[in-house]
Amino acid sequence: MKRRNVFSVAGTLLFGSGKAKAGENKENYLPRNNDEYGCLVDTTLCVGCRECEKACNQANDLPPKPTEFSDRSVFENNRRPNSNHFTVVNRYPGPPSLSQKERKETFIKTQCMHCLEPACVSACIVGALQKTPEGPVTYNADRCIGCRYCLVACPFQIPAYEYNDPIAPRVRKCNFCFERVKEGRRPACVEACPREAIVFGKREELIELARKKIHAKPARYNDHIYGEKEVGGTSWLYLTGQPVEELGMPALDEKVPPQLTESIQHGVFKYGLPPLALYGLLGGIMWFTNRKNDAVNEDQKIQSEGQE
Amino acid sequence: MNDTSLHAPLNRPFFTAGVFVLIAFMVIGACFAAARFVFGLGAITNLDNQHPWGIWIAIDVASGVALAAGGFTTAALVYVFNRRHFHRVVRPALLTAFLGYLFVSIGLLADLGRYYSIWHPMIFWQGDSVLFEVGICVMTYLTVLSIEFLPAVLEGVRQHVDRGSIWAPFVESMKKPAGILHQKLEKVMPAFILAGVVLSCMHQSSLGALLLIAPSKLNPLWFTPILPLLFLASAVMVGFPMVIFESLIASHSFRQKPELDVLSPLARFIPYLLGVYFILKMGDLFVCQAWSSMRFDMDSVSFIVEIVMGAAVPLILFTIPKIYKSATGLFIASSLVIFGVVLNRINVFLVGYHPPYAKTSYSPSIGEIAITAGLISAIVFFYRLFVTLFPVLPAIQPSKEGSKITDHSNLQRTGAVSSCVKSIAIFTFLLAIHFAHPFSAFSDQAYKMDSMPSLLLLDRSSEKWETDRFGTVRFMHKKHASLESGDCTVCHHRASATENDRVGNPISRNDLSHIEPVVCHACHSSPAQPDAITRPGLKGAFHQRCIDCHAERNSGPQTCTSCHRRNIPGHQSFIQLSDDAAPQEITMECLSCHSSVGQSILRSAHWNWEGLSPDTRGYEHHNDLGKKQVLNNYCIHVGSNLERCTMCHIGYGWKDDSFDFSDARNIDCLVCHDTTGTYKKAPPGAGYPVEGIDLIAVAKNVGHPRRDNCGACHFYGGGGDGVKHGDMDSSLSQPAPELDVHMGKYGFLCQDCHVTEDHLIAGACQAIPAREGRISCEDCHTANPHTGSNMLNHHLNVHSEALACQTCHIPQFARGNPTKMEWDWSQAGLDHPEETDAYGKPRFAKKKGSFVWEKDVSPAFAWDNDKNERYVLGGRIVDNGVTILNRPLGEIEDPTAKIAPFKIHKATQISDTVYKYLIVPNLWKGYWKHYDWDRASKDGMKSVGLDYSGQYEFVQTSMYWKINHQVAPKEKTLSCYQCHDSSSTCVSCHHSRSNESQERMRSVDEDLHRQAAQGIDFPFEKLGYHGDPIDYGSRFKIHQQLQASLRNTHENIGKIIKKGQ
Repeated sequence: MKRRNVFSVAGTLLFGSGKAKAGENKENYLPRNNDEYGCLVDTTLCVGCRECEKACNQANDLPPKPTEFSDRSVFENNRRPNSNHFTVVNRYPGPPSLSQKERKETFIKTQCMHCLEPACVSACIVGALQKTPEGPVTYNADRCIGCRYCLVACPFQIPAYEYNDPIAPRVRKCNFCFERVKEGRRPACVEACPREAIVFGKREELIELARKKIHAKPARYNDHIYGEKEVGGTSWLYLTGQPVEELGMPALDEKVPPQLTESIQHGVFKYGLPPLALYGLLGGIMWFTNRKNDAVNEDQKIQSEGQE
Repeated sequence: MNDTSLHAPLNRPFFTAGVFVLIAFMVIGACFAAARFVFGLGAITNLDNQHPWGIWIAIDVASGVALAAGGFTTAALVYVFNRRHFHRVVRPALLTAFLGYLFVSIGLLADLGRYYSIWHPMIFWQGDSVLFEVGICVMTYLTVLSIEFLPAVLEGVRQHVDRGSIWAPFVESMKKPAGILHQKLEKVMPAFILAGVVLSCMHQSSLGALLLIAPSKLNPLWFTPILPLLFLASAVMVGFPMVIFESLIASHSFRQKPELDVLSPLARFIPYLLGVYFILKMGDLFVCQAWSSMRFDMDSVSFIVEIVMGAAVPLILFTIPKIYKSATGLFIASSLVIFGVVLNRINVFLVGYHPPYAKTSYSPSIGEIAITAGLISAIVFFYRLFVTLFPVLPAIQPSKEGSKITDHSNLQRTGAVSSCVKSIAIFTFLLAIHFAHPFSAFSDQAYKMDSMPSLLLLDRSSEKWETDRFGTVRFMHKKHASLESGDCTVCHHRASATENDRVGNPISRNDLSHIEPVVCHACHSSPAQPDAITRPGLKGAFHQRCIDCHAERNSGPQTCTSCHRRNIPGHQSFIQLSDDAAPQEITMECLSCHSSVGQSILRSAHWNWEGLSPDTRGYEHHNDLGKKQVLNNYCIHVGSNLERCTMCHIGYGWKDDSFDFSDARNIDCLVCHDTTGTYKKAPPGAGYPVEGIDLIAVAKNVGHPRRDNCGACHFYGGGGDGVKHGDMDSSLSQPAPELDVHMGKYGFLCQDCHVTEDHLIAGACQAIPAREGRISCEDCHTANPHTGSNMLNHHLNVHSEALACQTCHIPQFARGNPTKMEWDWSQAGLDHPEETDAYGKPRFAKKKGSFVWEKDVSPAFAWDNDKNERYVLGGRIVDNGVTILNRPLGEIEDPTAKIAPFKIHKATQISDTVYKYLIVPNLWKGYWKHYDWDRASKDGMKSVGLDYSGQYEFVQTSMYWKINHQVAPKEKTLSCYQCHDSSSTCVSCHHSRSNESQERMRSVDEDLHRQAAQGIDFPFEKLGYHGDPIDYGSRFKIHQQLQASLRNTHENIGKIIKKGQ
């Protein structure tokens, strides 16, 4: 992959000098494909009707829920997406923004953010998770071995696991309605939103739209597009009227989580050189020490190294 | 490598007490493992979406791999660095490593959701993944380890044959090939030894890189880019201590002399290795300033314990000769290092791992612990098995050679048990540390007025509305325009430049003079598409604009159903009852889905016929005033006439006091929700339906109540069509627009105004005290209801301060059907001819006396502030005159009171001459049968628990019925001159106005004169005015002295109203 520039960390790893170096080669992760789709969620518009949840449930053939989607009592508890529920709306106290004082509650929809540099994709041992050129991060259950490293890796704590399936458990998460998006159609939740609080489009254009909104209504919006830069950027973007921490969204910096591990990884395995070098070095020591101390075995050693 | 003489199989009986303990652990672990494979991970683990990895990863895998480091470290020491002196310890170390990795893999099978795909990484390469590297390395290393250990097995085969052991017959044929293979292996072994070391370095470090992908989750105390290096260093460091630890336990367990001659020199390397790790760890702690993350929490405590007990203390211990030269010293120091490394792995994978949104913290389940314990036991078990079968342990003679078998086995048992106890003690210690940690996750945790459309139906079919769930919206367009003071740009924010222009240009208020606003769907025809993300569809645009404005101003409807009518899905498939189902069974069928509705109904006034009476003087805080306590001047009281009266109860079977008001089964859902029009309650049926109705068909066609449903009772109050209210009768079933604008022209249903929440229905009847919410015209039409830019509207809006909307907009009531205006009970029982009047209504009935019916009645007017005074059962009647049963309490001085129209129903009804209260006569199955007032009074009063003196007389009463329905079209409302028969003109007041406006006023003036031809007299004097307010001033101008005090009271009243809301 073109974006990997990884020399520094090989040395870093083996010679132990480099917290500073890792994570600085960010420019290698950009620029990105301008055709990627994304979604812009304007949280100041959301009224918590849960139509998105309902649409998601239908679009993904998820099992029916114990209560109707119109039931607002679910807001009593903070909910997280789970293996049967790819998107959830949570309620937070207080008005969505400074300019909306009369509103008493703020609603935040949560689903997979579809990172530009997904930690889950990087973590996946078998490449069951993939970042598609269109933007969605998709999952291929046939490859999955069920190690759940993606759950560990996800900075947004999104992937969910079918812990109770003994036969073929799957990692479950929003797949950005990949089949629809591929055709340029809007994801189910976007289509369902009665206020069009979620806008589907090219990510670049969405960022522009978000900036325009912030510019037009500075009292309404935080001057921050959540997901523009977080963890290297996400396909899903959020406009909020409050600091994101108050809305249960993790405050994350711009560092790309998989960058460090991939740097180390590719450093260690750069064309297999470092391991081979270590092999050679140890072999040399072996040869040297044995020659000094055990003349009898020397011949054998040379022979065996010759055989490699 | 001719190691043959160095090792020998252990010459000890295999089965000891300790071994049985191990087997027990293995069996328990296997049972849980079986459960895991049958029922899934969720069944036996405490893993969840926040904590995907538990002790199986932290202990079985991470710690297991680390502790197996003895294999590659000793191999490196002996073969790479050529310290042959330590040769003896390599094989046991390799065996430990082999078993360790084998059981790491077996443990992984339990942890992996799709264990059968464990081979996938070999096919599906994913070079970015740290885990991929770990996986491949572990697999490869396990292969390498088995090759490294193979010589011991081959040698064992030879030895068994040579010694003629019990295994000899089975392996005899393998002796020769084994020998050859052994020889060949000897030659290539260095390559594998080196490969083993390299592979170990790679995956030991990569294990440390695993959590680096989650910087936001791992505590900074452990998160460092050199974590892989630290993992490697700690693995290297724990290698020798692990070898020492095992050797000491083995020699103790197998009653051999501790191999201090090898172990002590081996221990001399440990301080250097520990030192390297310690320096790296401390260096990282300070260079990266991780120490600033120190808190007084379990993480920090665990971190300190890990460093101090697991690194610093053993670092010192291993430099003290007394320690490294004694078996006990070595054991303690080595144990500390091992404990330090295991704790480090647990810290990194569990303690320091803080996933967001975790509601519970992770602690291992019994099943997880059992499987881990089983795996550890299996390692120990197979270790023993291998050393018993193959030459692994150094061939040193037992220290107590001559001990007898009995003694020996005894000692053996204690030895094995004690080693077992030790390992369990260490494991328990680790667990105790673990449980001492609450492993807590972050617990921190909206033109032109006269020519614009006044009402729009928002139901554009081009947009896919949620037609299946919500109905269309009636949008009061003109109203909204007036609220925006004519600033159309609030909604019509852009104007198309050409006909097909869907983008348009922004417009400002000034542009409105020459630009005509375009309709919404000109641009917002389809929802936002990726190629036009800034332009929401019609639905989105409406919802964005409407909700934002309503929320920002905190006015107007703010819930879905306050704008939309909710559509009800077809119930055909939901009703699964036999054709002969009883009414109650149908109710149960309804409640089986609408479970909460039952309880709502049981609380409602429609069910209890009583409720909160906040508007009744003296009963403001009562919740028990209802039909049972008040009486009227029609059929008087429900008391002894239950069976007949309760045909209008929304339940089944209220025929006497035994009716259970808490039994939801008796709710009659159908009377309100029938849409077939076939459902009818039987007249004397106590609420039961008439025989022969297909109840199932009714139940399958339930829907929103239509006007007929409400009308089934409310149109027929008082025992017949239009008897009671005056403004409600069967003509409202399908009213003409002239009769009622809302229902006739716009198709309003009752509940469109009578907002219903939880089956509690807002609205108030003058005759019934119960209230479940108030509604008023102003709710939609606002306090300035007259939209329009001319002077007339201004004057009309000023009127709204003193007049209820109904006063002008319902100029006459009973415009559809006639209503009963007078009732004389004293004529009952007489044998007058039963003739009918001009409307076809009876003037007289023997059972009920004589009546007066009227149609197109002009109402009476009274000040009304929504408050009433009620005549309650047993109340005293006025001595000479008319007893008013429900007097409105408004007065001209009361600023909250407005002039409202009323129907006044006059009656002559029976009362007790002595006690001076009204009598409740028993009519149904009483007077109507025997025509005996005395007897009817006796029975009736008995039923309500009041005394009857035996003497009765007929007194006059009257009732007020506020007129709310039958709102006439605006052309038919009261016009100015119908009330203000004055010579005054507008111009006489507004003489200072410009010529232009004077002309306009004159035209209005002429208009008024024309209307005056129809003139009626408005009872100004009766209402407290001195005369026509145009001449005398408004009510507050008359009462000058009141004005000052009103200003004060206004504020107070305002507060009271606010409080009330």
